[in-house]
Amino acid sequence: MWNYERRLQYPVNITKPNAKAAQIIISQYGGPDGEIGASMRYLSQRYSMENRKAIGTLTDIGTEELAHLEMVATIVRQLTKDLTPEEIKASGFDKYYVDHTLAIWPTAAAGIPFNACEFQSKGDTITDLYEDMAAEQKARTTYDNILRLIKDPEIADPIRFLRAREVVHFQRFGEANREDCSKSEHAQHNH
Amino acid sequence: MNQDKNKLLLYISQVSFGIDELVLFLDTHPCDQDALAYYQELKKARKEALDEYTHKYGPLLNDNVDNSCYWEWVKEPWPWE
Repeated sequence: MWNYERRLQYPVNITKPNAKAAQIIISQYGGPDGEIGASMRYLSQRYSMENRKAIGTLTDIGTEELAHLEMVATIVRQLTKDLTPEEIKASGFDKYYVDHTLAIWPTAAAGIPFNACEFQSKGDTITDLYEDMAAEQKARTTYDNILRLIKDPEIADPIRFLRAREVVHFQRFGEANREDCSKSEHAQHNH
Repeated sequence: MNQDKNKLLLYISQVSFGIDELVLFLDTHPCDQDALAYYQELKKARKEALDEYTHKYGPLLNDNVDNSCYWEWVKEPWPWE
């Protein structure tokens, strides 16, 4: 069960349309290392997870990723809602516009639609937690790439927040992984 | 959006973010007494701020909608607007 809270996790206030930036940032909505894949990965993995701390971590980070998905969608929406037809044509956003108008749809920047094959849910505690740690680093790299490409402070500010969350999540998955039963004090004492 | 409303919403976001961080920290450090105490402190601050916001400006949660002759939930702007 989830409850919706009518606010963003971190404020987004973008005042100027920018179709180029929107086409890049939408990758964190539906791209290979985007927030939808992150949330689905963690929320799917938790049912077979055997480590109690990792189940909590997957549930709570998987939930936070939904809030990040909403932030990314808000950034894209605010960057595109006031575009003129001329700006849409000149920026190359016309290829998205023809199929989706100004709606939000999960795709990578290069046009590849979101696909569940972008994440894994393997049913092995160590395998899944290492996948999660790698996923956080891949998302962090993508945010770093966005920050290299986009300098407008109105856009960069919430992107920096999202980038910092990837670092914290990596840390928490690493801590959950240290709690794996094969590495616990109890298991070591039995050796 | 007026300034006081914005300020209160920002405060709610700040204390709520503190809770988000503590929840993740406590998931992997469930015995940390300082974090447990800080969680209780922020939980109280968040509840008070949410109650004040709901009373003055309208609901942030859909089980917090005040009695009235109109369903306020659909009236206020959404976070992306």
